Amino acid sequence: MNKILGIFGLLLFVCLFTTVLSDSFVGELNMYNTTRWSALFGILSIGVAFVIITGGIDLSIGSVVGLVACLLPMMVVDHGISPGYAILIVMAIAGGIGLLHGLLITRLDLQPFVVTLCGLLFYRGFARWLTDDQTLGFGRDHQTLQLLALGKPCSWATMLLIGGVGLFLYGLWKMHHRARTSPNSRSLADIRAYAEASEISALSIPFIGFLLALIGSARFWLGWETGPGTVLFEVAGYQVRGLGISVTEDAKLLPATVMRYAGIVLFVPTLLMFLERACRAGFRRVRMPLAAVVVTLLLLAGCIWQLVPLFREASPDDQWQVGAIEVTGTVLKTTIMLIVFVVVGSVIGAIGWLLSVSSGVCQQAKALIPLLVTTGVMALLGHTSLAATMVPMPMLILIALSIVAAVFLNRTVYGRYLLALGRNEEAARYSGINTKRMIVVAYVLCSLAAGLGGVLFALDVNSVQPSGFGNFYELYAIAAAVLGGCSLRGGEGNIVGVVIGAAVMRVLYNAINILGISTKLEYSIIGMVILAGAIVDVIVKRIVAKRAVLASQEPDS
Amino acid sequence: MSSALVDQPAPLLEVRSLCKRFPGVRALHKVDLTLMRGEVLALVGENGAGKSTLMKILAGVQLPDEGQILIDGKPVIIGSVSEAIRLGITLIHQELNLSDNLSIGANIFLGREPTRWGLIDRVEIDMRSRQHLTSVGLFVDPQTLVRNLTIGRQQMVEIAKALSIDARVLIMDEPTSSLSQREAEALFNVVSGLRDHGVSVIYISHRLGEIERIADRVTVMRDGQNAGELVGDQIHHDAMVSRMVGRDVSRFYERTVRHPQAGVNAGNAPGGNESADDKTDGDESGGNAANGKSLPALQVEGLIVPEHPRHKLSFHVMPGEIVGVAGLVGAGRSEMLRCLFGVTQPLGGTVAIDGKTVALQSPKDAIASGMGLVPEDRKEQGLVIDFSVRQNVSLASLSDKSGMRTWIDFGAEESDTLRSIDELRIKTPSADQVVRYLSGGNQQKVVLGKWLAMNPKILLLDEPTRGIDVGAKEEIYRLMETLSQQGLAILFVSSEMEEVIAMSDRTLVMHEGALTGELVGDDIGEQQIMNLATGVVKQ
Repeated sequence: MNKILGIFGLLLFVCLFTTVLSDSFVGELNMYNTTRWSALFGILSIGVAFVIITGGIDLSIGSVVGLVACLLPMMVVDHGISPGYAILIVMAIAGGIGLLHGLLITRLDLQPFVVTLCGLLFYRGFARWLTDDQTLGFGRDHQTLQLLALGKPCSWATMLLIGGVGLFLYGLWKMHHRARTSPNSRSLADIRAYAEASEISALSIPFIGFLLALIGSARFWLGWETGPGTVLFEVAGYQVRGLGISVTEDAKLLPATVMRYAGIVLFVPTLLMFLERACRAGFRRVRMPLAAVVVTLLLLAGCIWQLVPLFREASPDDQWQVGAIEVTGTVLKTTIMLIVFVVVGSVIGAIGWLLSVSSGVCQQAKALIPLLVTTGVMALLGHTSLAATMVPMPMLILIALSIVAAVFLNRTVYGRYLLALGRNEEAARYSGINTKRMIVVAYVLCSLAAGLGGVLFALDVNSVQPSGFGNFYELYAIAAAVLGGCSLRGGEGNIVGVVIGAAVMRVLYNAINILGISTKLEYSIIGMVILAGAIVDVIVKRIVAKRAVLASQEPDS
Repeated sequence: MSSALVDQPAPLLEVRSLCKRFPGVRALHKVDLTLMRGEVLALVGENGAGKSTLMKILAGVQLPDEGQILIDGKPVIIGSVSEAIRLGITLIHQELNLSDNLSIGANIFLGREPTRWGLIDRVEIDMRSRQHLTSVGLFVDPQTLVRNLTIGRQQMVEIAKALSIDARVLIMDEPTSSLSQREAEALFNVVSGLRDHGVSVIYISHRLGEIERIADRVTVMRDGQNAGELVGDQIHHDAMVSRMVGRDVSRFYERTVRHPQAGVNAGNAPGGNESADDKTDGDESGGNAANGKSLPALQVEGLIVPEHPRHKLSFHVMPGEIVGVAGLVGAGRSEMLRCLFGVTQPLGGTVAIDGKTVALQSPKDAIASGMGLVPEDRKEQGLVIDFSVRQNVSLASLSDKSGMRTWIDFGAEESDTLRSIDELRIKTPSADQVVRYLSGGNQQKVVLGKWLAMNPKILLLDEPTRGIDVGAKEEIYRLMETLSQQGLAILFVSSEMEEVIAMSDRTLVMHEGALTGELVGDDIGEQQIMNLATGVVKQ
């Protein structure tokens, strides 16, 4: 949970930083594109997460993406195979590649790095030979198929409605089946605090769900009309259509408005309640982070008031007079950017500090954090056009995939086996687990995800160059998985973190473009952010381990 | 006598009222210790008694909160390991700290290699290593790679390394825990040799028999405090144990109930000692004694273990019977258990469970047919060390015995774990505690809990009490007994002679991969086992 909050903080930081400096980041088109590409990379990252959890690595993802992206248009355009079958065939090929990797690794005891590195080279070369290095595409004849990657099945408001209802029902079910655990402490005050905290956390899930559903359904209050459903996509001759319900123009902006006001109206009392609990339980420990949050927020306000207009005005070739010094526009812009970067970073850092200290001193405050974060983020998102933005099809696929993957990893025995063997393969084997088969499964899943990614990337881009399509994608995927909390030593990882990690990568890339930073620096900046993430992670881990050791040394009560 | 006291020279090392506190625990409280020149001082106490903390302070790993350390009567502050080495104090860890990819000589001079013209002087290393190796009775080429040495010889290299830096005080932490009897014997000789040369040794061990043999003086610790000192003839097993535990105990664990050899129901025999408070005692023994005469739970015929292809093993274990497997290290006992459990594939022979022949291709098959193995290496083979107690206990039972279940049954997982914690008395703050932070004894109980959640018919135990303190050992013994009374067949391998003698209804003895004998009842004695284990006698 902490890890997910951490990576979420990083995402928030990059988004906030970019939004402060540029309006176009939260524009409808940019949001659509960023979510679409985040989703495509998210699919690859989920796949590689499974392999990383077993303690292995898959370097061939980019080449598999390239191979699949070449094969699909070849089959569909050149050989006239029906798209549905063509997709099935390329997915089977991808699965076969994973199976081959897994078998080579488990049966011949080859190292994953070696096997998949050879794969990386082989599939790339094979794809280039097969296509004679010609650029491929679907032309204009397969636009319905392309909707699989480019379609806009519904808006985010609808997603919020569906998700909200789901969360609400889950929360009710969870409340019904609540595990009755009691705290270690025996003092009455502690037990009361604990009971109240568990009450809060049990209630907040259905409440958040209700809130999301409310926002999602807002536009239906003003009016909707029916019409023929638009074609979402077409596979194997079947057209998949939308429901044909559309909303009148007036109502389109309503979700954002509701989100803004509901966010603020709920955020302020939650914040007050949170601060009141935390301060009463341990003001001495909370006061420093609290002061830090206030100071950094004031600084941020100062930046937005004074520096940001200057940043937007300046163009690279101008000369600017700052005090007594004459600077060029580029220097000015860079300086402002760095200042805003540091200030936004300290805001997020200070908030994280406050949250972690408060959750340490007070159970109720800890229980309030999900509600606090949700309402806070909602209040921020209410100022963007997200609710009216359409959901790209790949995002829908990613959401479905990540739910399946998360359930697989956390709720089924196979997921548990993967985690166990990733941490200690021998102990897993001695516990009667067929570790070899599970490792093969992980590689198959990874290559299947790469294959699916390849299909979607090809449909999206519609112009596949065999020599470079998908280059470096494996490294983006691995970086996203590592940012999202997977350890390359194996045995650790969660799906939500990985998906957010992929989003961080894309948003970073997007930010570099939008802010006019030289794209030549792209790799360096991404590299630095990942390194910073890894360093923070190690430091946090050390602190946690230290606390655990101290806690285990305390005498039994 | 009094004149001897007057003549007594100043101690080499003296520790005065040393205190060390960790958050929440008092690790050491006013501990005193003296060490004379050329003396073997044994330090005993249960795990958590403060021995390791005291040794870490002496070796410069940790600093004390209060108290004094004097060397040659002069107060010193040991701030770091290199400081300790400079003062002549060397700690030989339980887990050896050698780089096994380097040669013996390179290890001995690691970090202070003699050089010549800026290059490592191999000749010098070779010569001086040879000299130090000779003094510990090891006649091997110093250029041999450490990984090619047995554990016992690696230990000797550690000692040689300590001697090469002119150590005056040698601290040995559980030196014999992974040594065979013969290797341990050699170690004792070296220790006495060192003593004769004026080197002082602080010897920490759980094996009280060794201490009776080699210690000049024993300091007992309990709960971070001094709990007594024994000299000369006073050094005796019972005396040490009673001071360690703080109460009188019998010489070794005594079983209340033996397996009914002739089908006689012995389940109601009066429980003489404290194990009678077990709730499960006697509840089910009546029913199982009736089955006792029926088919053996485990019948092994002509099993050929891949590591020892020249020998065929045949034996059986009845339900409710505890069979011990004795032998020296390297006799092939663990290999046999691993083969039975399907980790390795036998080259021949049959295994029958409850009269039905089974083919065990993998541990999965073995578990499906009702076996459980508590392996030799707890941290590598028994546990996923970063998983919680709950996740470890449920690891084997997650999928049904048929292997068909897909969804984790979190309710069953929780109840299985709580039952294990309760029945096995696992000391843990919660079911979600990561097992890394539990003590050795409690970790071992988690491994046992994993198998008990499967309701096995046969339990294979490989060195179940290695590295566990006296209290936890006794609990494991009691548990073995309770389980056997519930009808479980137990086959256990142990290198501790007393344990085999005390616990087994029947003892199998192995020597170099072959089964050399079987002892029953009163025949199970140290002499008989040793004769068979060394291959002197064959049945």
